[in-house]
Amino acid sequence: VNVEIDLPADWRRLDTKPPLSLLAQPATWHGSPVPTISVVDTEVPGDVAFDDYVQAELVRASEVYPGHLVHLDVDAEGRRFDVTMAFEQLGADVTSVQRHVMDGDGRTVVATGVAADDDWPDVARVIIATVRSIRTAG
Amino acid sequence: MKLEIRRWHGGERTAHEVIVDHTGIAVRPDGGWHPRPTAVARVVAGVLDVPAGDGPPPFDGTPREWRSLVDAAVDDIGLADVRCDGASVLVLAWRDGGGMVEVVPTADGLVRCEPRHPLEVWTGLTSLARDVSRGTRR
Repeated sequence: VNVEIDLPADWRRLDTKPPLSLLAQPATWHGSPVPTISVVDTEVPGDVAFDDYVQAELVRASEVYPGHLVHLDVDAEGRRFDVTMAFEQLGADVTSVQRHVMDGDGRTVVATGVAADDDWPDVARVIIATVRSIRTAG
Repeated sequence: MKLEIRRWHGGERTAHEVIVDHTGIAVRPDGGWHPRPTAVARVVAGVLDVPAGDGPPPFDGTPREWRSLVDAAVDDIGLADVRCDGASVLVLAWRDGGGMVEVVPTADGLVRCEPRHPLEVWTGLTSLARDVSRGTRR
């Protein structure tokens, strides 16, 4: 099964190892943290219902990244959910936008875009569009 | 720099001040404090407490009196006015279950409601916060 994503032309891919199937950043950027898009491709152990997966992911996110829930959209029929959070990461205030896609075999693909809140007005459009372009094929 | 947030919800009006300088962010009257000015978007979002879900807008685009929005802020309707140095910079109305509008003035002294997605609001807030935090850095 292949994972496809529409990466902006002026972003570069970095080397990755499974379960990370993509890591990308702007080819040129000044300052830190650098906006980053990643894609993780995993199998959910056991026969997990989509609703249970969403609930578990939200609990996990609130524990690992305590912050502000900006946006949540769950599409149970399409087995997809979007979540955006704002939190602190390594001393920086960042916004993280994610799309989770779960297929019928318990495989999940998660695209995540992260950027500093200070940079968010400049990169939001590109990051949101890229994360939402994630899809599985084959 | 000082942000004032006036909030109407459930028939009650609350007022907060978010004071930002190079030492961090203080929230009054609750006494919250944050060490980094760059967190101002998240701090303001926490005070606003708007819904993370999208949905039908609570008001249509018909020009109306400001007072009618205040009067409507009972039950599941909320209204907030964010002011920076005394001037309104962001006015929002929402339904608790999802659905948000930005309230903008019209030329004839009325206001009009324009639908906004939670991510649009967050991006606007980060832009506002960037201006505020950059104005306070040393």
